[in-house]
Amino acid sequence: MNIRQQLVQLLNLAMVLSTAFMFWKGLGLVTNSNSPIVVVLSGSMEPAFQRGDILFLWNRDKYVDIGDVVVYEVKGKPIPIVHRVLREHKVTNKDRKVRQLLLTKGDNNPTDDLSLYAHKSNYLDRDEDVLGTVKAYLPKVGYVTILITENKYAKLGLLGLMALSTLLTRE
Amino acid sequence: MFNIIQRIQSLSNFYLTVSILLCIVTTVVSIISMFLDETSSIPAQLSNVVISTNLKYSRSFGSVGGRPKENSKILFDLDMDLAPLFNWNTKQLFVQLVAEYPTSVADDGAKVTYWDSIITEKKYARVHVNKQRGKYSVWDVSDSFQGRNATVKLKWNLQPYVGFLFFGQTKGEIEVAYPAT
Amino acid sequence: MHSKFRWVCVDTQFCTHHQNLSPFSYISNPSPMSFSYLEGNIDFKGQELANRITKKLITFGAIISFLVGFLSDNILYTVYTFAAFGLLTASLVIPPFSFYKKNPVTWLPKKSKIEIQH
Repeated sequence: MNIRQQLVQLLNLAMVLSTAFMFWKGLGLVTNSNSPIVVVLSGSMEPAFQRGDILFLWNRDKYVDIGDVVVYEVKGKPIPIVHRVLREHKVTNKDRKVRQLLLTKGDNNPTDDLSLYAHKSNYLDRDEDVLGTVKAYLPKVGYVTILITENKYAKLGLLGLMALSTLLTRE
Repeated sequence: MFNIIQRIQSLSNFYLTVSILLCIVTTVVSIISMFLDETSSIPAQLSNVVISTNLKYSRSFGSVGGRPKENSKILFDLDMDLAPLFNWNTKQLFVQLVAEYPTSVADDGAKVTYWDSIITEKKYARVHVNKQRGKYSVWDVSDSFQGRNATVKLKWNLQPYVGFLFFGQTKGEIEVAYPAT
Repeated sequence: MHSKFRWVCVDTQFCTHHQNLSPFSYISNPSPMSFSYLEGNIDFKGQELANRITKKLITFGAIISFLVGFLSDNILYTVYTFAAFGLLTASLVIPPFSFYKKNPVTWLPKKSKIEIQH
């Protein structure tokens, strides 16, 4: 009897997790972005974005406009960066395809992002590097995730709370 | 609700739900008020815009392989009042002085920023600068601007406390030419 | 003669609480006094009241907070007002006040032998 209960509880947990996963992936499909919701990690866009703010991305625009805030990932560096488009150019490739090249800069940074880009590139490629443009914003809600990943006391505290709650509900 | 823990859970659950609803209502009200305020035609007075160019040879100024790259700088006068954009949901305004010039590739051409500024409060929304120097030394993907004609305009971005970001442009563009090479 | 002892599960928490024990033992021996005091239990009418207070107060607080912020042109007032309403509701609903315990449940008298029929 006990094992069955445990299995049912496990099944419920699996249902909750897979529903959340489906929602996340579905949102990624709609917005055409790998990570449609991001948490701001650095202060490079202050005073507009603070650490812990939540950004909603949209990636279905063919071209990014100047002044848009984009989230991009440089090839080879796994950290996504949220900065504003300073300059945009369009060039044609050898195979007649039009690429959009972008130069970005964080509002709170003194210089543009040239030093952050891949070694030989002077610009970002809209199709390859940009994860999406920021369309909507929610303040401070994501600060919990930052606390958990960076603060070891918060991590222990959360684990303690979770352990406590599983113990108490089972009586 | 019979247990303290249950009451805490139920209360925080409901509070969170209502908070989210409040955010959504604020967002919708912001969209409606932006639409009603006719923020698409705020006048701006751009005058005495002068673009100057010189050649640079370092990578931080766009030079590739040591070849000379034409860099440009701007000098301008600007007079505008962006106070109508400041509502209860405005966190900051980001304004950019943008030059748009034709390229052989696209209809709308390339867009570059010469100067930007952040306005955080309504009392600073009145911008009046004379002989202002641009912040950035701007270069094109090609080696030179080749004396093209550019349209210089002022774009703004409204950052809300919660909701959608709004973008717009002031009324008052000016045509300038890059100096001939 | 079979005598069926029927009981209705009012709250699932009550039922899962004592799953390991015999199904009727909860009625004959509820939680000891000290434990239920720590849990902050309140009776059903009190739960209804607490539920109504949270829903009405928080909804009202949301509307007031929105108006305060909108009319004073400052969104921070919305945040502060709504936080204040949240704290007010929490202080009214979470502690087990005596006005939540006005209608206690009357349990059936304890029997010396309980006849269980499969």
